[in-house]
Amino acid sequence: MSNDSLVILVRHTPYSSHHARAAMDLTLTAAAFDSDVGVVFMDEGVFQLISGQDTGTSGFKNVGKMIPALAAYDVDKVYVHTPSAARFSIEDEYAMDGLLPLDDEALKTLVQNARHVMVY
Amino acid sequence: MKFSIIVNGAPWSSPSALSALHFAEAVAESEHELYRVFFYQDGVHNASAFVVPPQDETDLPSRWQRLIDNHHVDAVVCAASALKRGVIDAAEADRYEKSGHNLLPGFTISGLGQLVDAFQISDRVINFPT
Repeated sequence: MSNDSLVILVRHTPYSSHHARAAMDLTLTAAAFDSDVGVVFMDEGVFQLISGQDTGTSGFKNVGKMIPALAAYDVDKVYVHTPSAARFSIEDEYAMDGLLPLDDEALKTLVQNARHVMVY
Repeated sequence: MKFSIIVNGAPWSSPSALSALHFAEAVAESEHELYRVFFYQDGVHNASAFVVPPQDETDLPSRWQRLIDNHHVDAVVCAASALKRGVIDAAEADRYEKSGHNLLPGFTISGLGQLVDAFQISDRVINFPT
């Protein structure tokens, strides 16, 4: 990533708080402003990646449908922290292809090289 | 060095907003530049004129306002966060036909793009989570 990069760490489950939606909003806005943006799903945030999320009458917008659409907005750096996914055994349940795997060492390097880091 | 600050906490709900204020005041009084303070999520309540704190407690909205006035701080309130929490200016009150408005003078309602701009321009963006 370039020195202008913004890395967004997403650490919360999709429907326990407003964080998931807020992270998507910032990601899309950053992309619209031509920022070099990467988004990392880690810790309980990996639950945002699983397919078949049914928000039904919950009143929440379906985050699981927004994430696969990120590529359409030129957000191509969508990472999954593989130790988090392994911890919750969801590696076979992703709603999208093309997720970039990150182990602990790669995550450390990504954060170190980022100009700014935002945590949700 | 250019700093920007993100305020996530409502006054008195957590120490977050007060910590952000202290940091902002320190930056403004230092040799560094305070590029922008961005009031985000519950932090938008810091910009409400309808806040009435007890007399013996810190009046955060007034303290923010004093900082903004004294140091010409660009204080941006996230539009999406503010409107749904009932923090609105006169124009939005008119637009949505609301009976009143409560955005303190000195604050500006604008979009999330202002936060992205702060990331692009600032050397450091300090986030104060709740």
